[in-house]
Amino acid sequence: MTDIGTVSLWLALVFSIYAAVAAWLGAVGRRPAILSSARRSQQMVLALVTLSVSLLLTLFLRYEFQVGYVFAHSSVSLAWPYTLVALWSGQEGSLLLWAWFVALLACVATCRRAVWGRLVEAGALATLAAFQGFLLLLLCTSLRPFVLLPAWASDGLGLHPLLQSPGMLWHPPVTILGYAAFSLPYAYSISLLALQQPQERWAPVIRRWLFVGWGSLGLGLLLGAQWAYTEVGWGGYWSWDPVENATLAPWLVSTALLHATAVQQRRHMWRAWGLFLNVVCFTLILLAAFVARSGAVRSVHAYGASSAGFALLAAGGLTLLAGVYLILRRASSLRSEAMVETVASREGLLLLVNLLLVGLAAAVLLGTLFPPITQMLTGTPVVLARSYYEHLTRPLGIALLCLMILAPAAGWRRAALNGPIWPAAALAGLAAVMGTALLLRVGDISLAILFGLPAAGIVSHLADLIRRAHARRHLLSENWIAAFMRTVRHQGGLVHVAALLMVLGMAGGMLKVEASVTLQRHQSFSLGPYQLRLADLATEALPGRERHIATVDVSRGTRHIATLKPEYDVHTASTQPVARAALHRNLREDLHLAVTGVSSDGNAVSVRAAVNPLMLWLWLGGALMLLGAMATLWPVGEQRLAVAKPALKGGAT
Amino acid sequence: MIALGIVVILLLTMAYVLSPLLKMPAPATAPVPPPLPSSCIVDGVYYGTHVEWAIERALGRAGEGEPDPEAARQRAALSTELEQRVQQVRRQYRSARVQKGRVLCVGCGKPYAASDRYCSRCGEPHPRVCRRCGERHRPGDCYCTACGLPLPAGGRP
Repeated sequence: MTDIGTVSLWLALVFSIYAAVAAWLGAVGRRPAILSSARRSQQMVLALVTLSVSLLLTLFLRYEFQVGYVFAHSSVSLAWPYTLVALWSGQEGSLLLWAWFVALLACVATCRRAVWGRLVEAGALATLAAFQGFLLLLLCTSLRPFVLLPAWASDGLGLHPLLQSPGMLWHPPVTILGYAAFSLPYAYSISLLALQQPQERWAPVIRRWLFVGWGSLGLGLLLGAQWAYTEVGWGGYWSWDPVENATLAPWLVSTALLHATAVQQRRHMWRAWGLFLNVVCFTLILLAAFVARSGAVRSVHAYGASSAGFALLAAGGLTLLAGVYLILRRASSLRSEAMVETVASREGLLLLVNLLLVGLAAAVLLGTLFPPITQMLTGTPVVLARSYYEHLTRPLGIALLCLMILAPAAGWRRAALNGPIWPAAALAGLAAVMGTALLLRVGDISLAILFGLPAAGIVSHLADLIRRAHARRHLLSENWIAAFMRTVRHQGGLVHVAALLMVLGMAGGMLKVEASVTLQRHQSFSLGPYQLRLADLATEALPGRERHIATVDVSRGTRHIATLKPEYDVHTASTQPVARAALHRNLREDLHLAVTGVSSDGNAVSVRAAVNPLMLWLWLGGALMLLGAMATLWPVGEQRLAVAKPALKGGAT
Repeated sequence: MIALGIVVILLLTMAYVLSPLLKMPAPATAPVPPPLPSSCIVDGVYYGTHVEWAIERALGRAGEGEPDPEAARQRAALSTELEQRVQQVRRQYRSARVQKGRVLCVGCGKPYAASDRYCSRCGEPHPRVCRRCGERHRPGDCYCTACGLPLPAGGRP
């Protein structure tokens, strides 16, 4: 079975190289026969990589411990969902999954008959097949998943205890899907540049795939944050860990790129800038893979050192050089049709948003790569503290919030300046009133800013959505629900509201209250409005571990509101205990309770309790953001105006 | 037996991938680009639809101009024609590089045969043929050697 797996990977590599060369020759020479052959070759790559993934899964399910990868990441005592999850828990399996996603997306994007025959798709397929070939080359040479051990083993080393969590089911594959999806906008950009095709026609296609990558990577980050929030010892939902940061940087750049493509579509500007961001985004994806896989940066989320990390870094450098070279080569055809006339326009604000987001990504990246850079220069790695990120991100974040408040009032070109001034004035007044009210309430200016700005932004965007829905209702004679549902798609209004909700959730962290105590049975303590009482402490023996479960009754005043059961696992195979927090959630706050230690006699337990205000808003905001992104992607038919054009001149009433 | 099965599957796979190459070569078809995304252009802003513009206008965030559907249609047609023309010239440029030394028609880009005086496709006179008397002249000549018609620099009357 392992031989079949190895052969299928080698064959997939051969077909991938063929697909890349044939698609390119077919695109340049306009040869439909060669293009058809390239398309079939890509389908075979997908079939072969799917076969490899299925074989590896079968090996895991059959506990074939003579296979090195299965031995290192599985064991007989492992629960069956984690036996499947073990597929992507190591370097080899996750790289195989990445290659599978790239093959799948390449087929979906470029192998449909409806679009086949367009040169750009052929060029994109050539680029995707080349990148897919690079991943397959790594799988065939340095990260081989089907290598046999020299001796037979009756049991494996098992999955790391920290990875035996529901978070492992979703977070890695969704993040890897995001990594794979970002290769599509890059492939299209390279194809457009190399084949000298007009950019505007392809902007919607690129934007659609960009949304897929942005949404997947964002969801991956969110699922990772949710996992880290419940896992004790990972520093909360965001700890500015290098691997987290390395994934955040391309997400920030892709956010900037999404805004840039909006300007590109509406004003035919920033063609070169959009392509450059596309190239940078994909390069940062490869850099993130390098950080996670090279061992050059220490992180709790890294896979460990491997030679593949440096190959990925080299590939990242190559993609950047190739992209920049092509942009410079085609610079004359990438000139903008217009320019930003005033900052008080939509394109002016989007320019500032672009600069701030790219600046934020650069600051995060500098902090992440600071240890290896200083080690290279001075011999001693210097790790930047959490305060570096907080000091840098706060002012940039506040500037972004200000822009988000003003954005709904801005129009293209000078329209907002020539139109009524009251929307912008009302928004500025709203922010000022909210900030002042909060300042009077909490007495802390930084808190007033951090809560006042997102709150004003939410009001501003909701008001804009309602005004748009009202105008739409008037113009198209739609009912309120249809008008509102169609309006939320526009400009990602819902996405912005969701982002602001997330900021509110993050700002709530500043009001966090926490306490660490040691309790015996029936002892209690107070935290904020809650009284917590240790009702019971049970121990149960599970395969490969001993689980301690503390039963804590939570009451508010005289009312019992919940019973929490945080867990504390001591694994026989690992010296590091694994603690999972228990949560009591509502819209106002989270009560986060975790066991941090159990006495040797099993009668006393150390617990850490925290009250995190507005935490649920962070997750709700994240979910809403994804819904908003999906709504933006959802196709809608062409609509007709229900009123005669002269009636439009007076505007909606 | 397993090895034989693998070989058979491999052969079938290769046949599937390479079979399009064995078919009779089909004529190269012109690529079909996706349509231009903007259908409503007002004051230099490319709105996606008329509805989008109308809503912006209703909110006071669009200019004073009115969309001109005819202008948008003409722009789309012109853009398509321009792109096709650019592609055509690129193709001809490539083919001309292959047939180095041959002169291209400035009207349609088709290469002239050695004895051609006019383009066989569009009727454009050969650039080195005098338009008054039909005499061929050398590159760099300032006057026609047969009738004396002044020739512009580059040799085209």
